Amino acid sequence: MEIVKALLQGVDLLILDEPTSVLTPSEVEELFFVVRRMSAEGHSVIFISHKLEEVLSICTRLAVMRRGRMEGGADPAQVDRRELARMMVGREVLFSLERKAMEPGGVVLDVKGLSVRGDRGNEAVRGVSLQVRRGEILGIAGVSGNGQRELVEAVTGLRKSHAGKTFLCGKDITNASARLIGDLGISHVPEERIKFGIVPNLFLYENSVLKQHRNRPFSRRLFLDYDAIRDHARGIVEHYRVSTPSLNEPLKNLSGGNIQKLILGREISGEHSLLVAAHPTYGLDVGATEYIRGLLLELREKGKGVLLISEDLEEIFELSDRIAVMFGGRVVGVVDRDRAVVEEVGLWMAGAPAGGAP
Amino acid sequence: MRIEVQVLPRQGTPRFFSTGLLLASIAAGLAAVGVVFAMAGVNPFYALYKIFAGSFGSLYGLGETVTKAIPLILIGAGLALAYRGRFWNVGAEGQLLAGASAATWIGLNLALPHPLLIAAMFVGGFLAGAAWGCLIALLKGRFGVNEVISSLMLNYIAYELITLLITGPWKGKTQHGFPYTDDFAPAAQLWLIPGTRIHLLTLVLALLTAFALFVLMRRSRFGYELRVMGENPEAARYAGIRFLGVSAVLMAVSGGVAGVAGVGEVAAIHHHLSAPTSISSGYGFTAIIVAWLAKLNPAACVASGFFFAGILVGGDAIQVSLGLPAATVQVFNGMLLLFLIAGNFFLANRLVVRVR
Repeated sequence: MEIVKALLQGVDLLILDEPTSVLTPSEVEELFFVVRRMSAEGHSVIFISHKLEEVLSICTRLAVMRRGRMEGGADPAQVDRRELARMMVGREVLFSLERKAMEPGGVVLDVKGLSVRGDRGNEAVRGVSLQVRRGEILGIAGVSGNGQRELVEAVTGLRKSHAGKTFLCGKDITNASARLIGDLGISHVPEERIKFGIVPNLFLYENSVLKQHRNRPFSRRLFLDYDAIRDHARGIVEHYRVSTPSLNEPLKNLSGGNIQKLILGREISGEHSLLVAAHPTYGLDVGATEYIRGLLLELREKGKGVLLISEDLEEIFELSDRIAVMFGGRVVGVVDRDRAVVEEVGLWMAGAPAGGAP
Repeated sequence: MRIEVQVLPRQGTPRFFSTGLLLASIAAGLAAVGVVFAMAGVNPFYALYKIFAGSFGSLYGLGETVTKAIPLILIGAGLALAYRGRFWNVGAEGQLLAGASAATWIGLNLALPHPLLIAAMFVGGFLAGAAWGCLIALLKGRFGVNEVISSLMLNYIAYELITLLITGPWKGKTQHGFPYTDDFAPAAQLWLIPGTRIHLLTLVLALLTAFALFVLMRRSRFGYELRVMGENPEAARYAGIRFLGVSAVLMAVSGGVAGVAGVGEVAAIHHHLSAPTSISSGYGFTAIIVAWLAKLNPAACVASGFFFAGILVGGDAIQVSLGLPAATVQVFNGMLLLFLIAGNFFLANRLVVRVR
């Protein structure tokens, strides 16, 4: 809408800041068509994006910013993704993550006909059924606001469902508390990591046990064992390459990528059989994104189940074994990754009914 | 020329900066108070000198200051704990009165030997204050009632209940018609350091409480959950921390120690329950500033409680010697609180002023 408004007012310079993050692939194509026509008609467009394909396909001139500085410019005809990514990150970036063939195991998460109300009492999730198996990543694609958040919150115990059942490894966890569900083995990388996943003003080491602080060895009866907590935090920082001045740093001073590494490290380090990851790489730079995606694939190889929620189709296609698409609170289609076609998934995201939907 | 002021979040505050800012806030507060004194026609420097000479300058003054520091330290430490959890308990006055009433009933009605009776009074006072405080947590957790409103209103309920008791059922037969309960028997009275009104037992309890609450906040699981809840309620929910559970314990402790302060007041100073305003003289409110001056650190409340006790005692002194109205001390305290809270703003933000 905003874009249309700007276009109608006949602007000379149009600045688009991550314009595609809430659009489906076909809408992106339409937007690109309009932008191309505008620039052909002599308007100037500044297009800000972290998606390499987008800038390579639409821009006539590129500039790369890193840490508040202009890192350099390039001609899109003469650079490729790899080179551009190197400019953005400052080092070589692997693109196709290695992905071993895995035979999925038993069912970890079984959601049966789950219905959940949203914040305004509307029915945000309407009878969703899905299964995640061991050694499998189930990707949920869809434009934000189609019930993904409510589904995740219901599965992780943060929101009550009013119909349907959820089972974890055969155990009924419908409407159990977040504490119980965490203890039973669901880890959760929440969306809006600063708002939900951490306590910005507390120190890094205090944040490294959020949710696990109740369990041994961090907690002994009434008191916390801060030596054990520090050791744990040091382990995460080293193993997951969290870059921080010290363990005593208030977490708000770390970059988004490093905060996310800490959250993921924390969530993976405990005993768990399923990881629910909501938009795990949203807003992260290419380097951190690559690293986080690698970690998710590693979990899959260890035989854990992963429920991945993302708007980024590239991410969904890169990581998932099966892809489910949510629209209007329903799963409109589930498809094996090998048989999925980006355009078709994109159509489902826009609400087109799927032929073979379950 | 245009002057632009920008507010930017501050990152990383060194210790000397926060300490310096604290001192600067106090200095600015004192300066503002000085203006008030000057407007009242009193030389501000002389008034400030009189205040501190009255409270710290003589053995008698010092004794009074320690006496008044006892409830301030107790309540301040409890409030520091509550405010760390962003639970805005402004009902310490009511919790103190609940504790004082419970201790009065026990002191007048149970026939126990002195040590047991005193112990029963302290335990009863703690429980009564805790119950009065828990009610606020319950109202918030179950029905979403704002704790500022409910705790403030419960103060008035405590006030009126006590007034009812001392003019009605509990009215003393030996008090010649005055609205007091009967005086406590010696077995229900606390020992005082001779020549002062310092009740040593409560003083020791206050110091232990301040230290214990500090450890509780920094080292215990409850303290951790409390700080997470205070700093980011959403993350607390995510981490499975139960709001009602944590806030109930929080208010039981915060209210309970206020109740203990009430026990000390009736068992050592008054020896009977009388009008609410004379039992407490606003300790529950002054302790709010004590907690903030201590930067919500229960252990530091020992120092800030002592400081504000000095201002209370010195304020009484200048009322008499300089003929200033009784509200002067409240103006003084209010000003300091205002400047302390304003100081916190500068701790979290920095101002960038540009002239172009």
